[in-house]
Amino acid sequence: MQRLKSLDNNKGEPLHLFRGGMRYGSFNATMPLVRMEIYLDSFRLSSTFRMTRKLIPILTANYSDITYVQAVSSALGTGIRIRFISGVQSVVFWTSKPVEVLLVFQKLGVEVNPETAKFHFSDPER
Amino acid sequence: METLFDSRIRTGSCVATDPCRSWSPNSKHFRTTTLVSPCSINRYYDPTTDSFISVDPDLQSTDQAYVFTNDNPLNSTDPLGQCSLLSWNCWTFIAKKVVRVSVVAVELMNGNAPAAAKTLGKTIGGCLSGGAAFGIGAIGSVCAGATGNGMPFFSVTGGVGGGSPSAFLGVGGIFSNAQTPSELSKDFTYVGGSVGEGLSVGGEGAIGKAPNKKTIWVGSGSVNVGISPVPFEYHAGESWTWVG
Repeated sequence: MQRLKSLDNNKGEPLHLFRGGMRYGSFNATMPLVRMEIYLDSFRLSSTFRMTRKLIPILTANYSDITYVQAVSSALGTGIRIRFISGVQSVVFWTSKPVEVLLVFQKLGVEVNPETAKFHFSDPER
Repeated sequence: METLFDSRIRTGSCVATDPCRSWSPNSKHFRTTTLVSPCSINRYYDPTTDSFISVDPDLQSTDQAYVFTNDNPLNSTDPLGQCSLLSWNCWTFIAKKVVRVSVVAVELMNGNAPAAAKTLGKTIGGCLSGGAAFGIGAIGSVCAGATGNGMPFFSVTGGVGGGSPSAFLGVGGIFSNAQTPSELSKDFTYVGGSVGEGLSVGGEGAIGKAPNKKTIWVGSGSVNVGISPVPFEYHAGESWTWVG
């Protein structure tokens, strides 16, 4: 499993914290197994629970590495897709509050695509 | 002999074990060697006389044992072999089913599972389940509900088998043809799977023989939380259920 970028230094308390799930390539973790910590200049996805920590990859990225974020919807959930400039194309964070998460990103200066994309089960990068 | 059928008796519900006919999906006819079922799932049908050759399962309401679509085969269909969609009897039959399902729904909403199970004549219940696999795996569940005779039950199931890499916990329900708790208390062969995104939904089917030689089937469905390296999982194996 590829890490986006190692930013696991001590960043203090996150500005916002959301619980949800994650689709990263073919890997899928359902809600509420993943937590999203939002900091001033970066975000971090990791396991919500200690017992699943070894099973869920930690993903971190600076906002400067993000092309845009947008809401996605699928038959089994809603979420936000975060598209990156290079490396990993995107990651989906499953959440029941996609608008709330998007607003937080927007306030932090991340470009938000206002269109809701349909999530394709077999082609998550689309 | 090859008999041509028109669309009025074509259905997709073929009986796989029926040795007398085969369905040609790209043509509009059945190839037949003898009197056949028009892919009716309940009765056998003779195309040469446009009538059924086995008794109507709903004889009590139709009062006609062998008639096909109320003697009106050109304008009517009978895909299940139970009633013509143009007949009053058919709509009475459907209405009875709707009423029965509604009664069961109301009983369930009132929390009266034994009454609902008795009305339905099937086992119904709720379950908490979980499983993990990495090539080989295990599943487990605890369920509570009522069997077809209205008797409440509590069951614990454990199973071992194979499965794609995954780990999940779920909440859902079961449905079975078991009439008594003892019919449910036995070993089953199961196969199941789930597909996940924000949440994952799964289903499982199990089948086994009760001590009284009756074939018992159990179906279950659940909403799961879990992890999987691919967004779906499947599993199969042998399980054992203890009922209290």
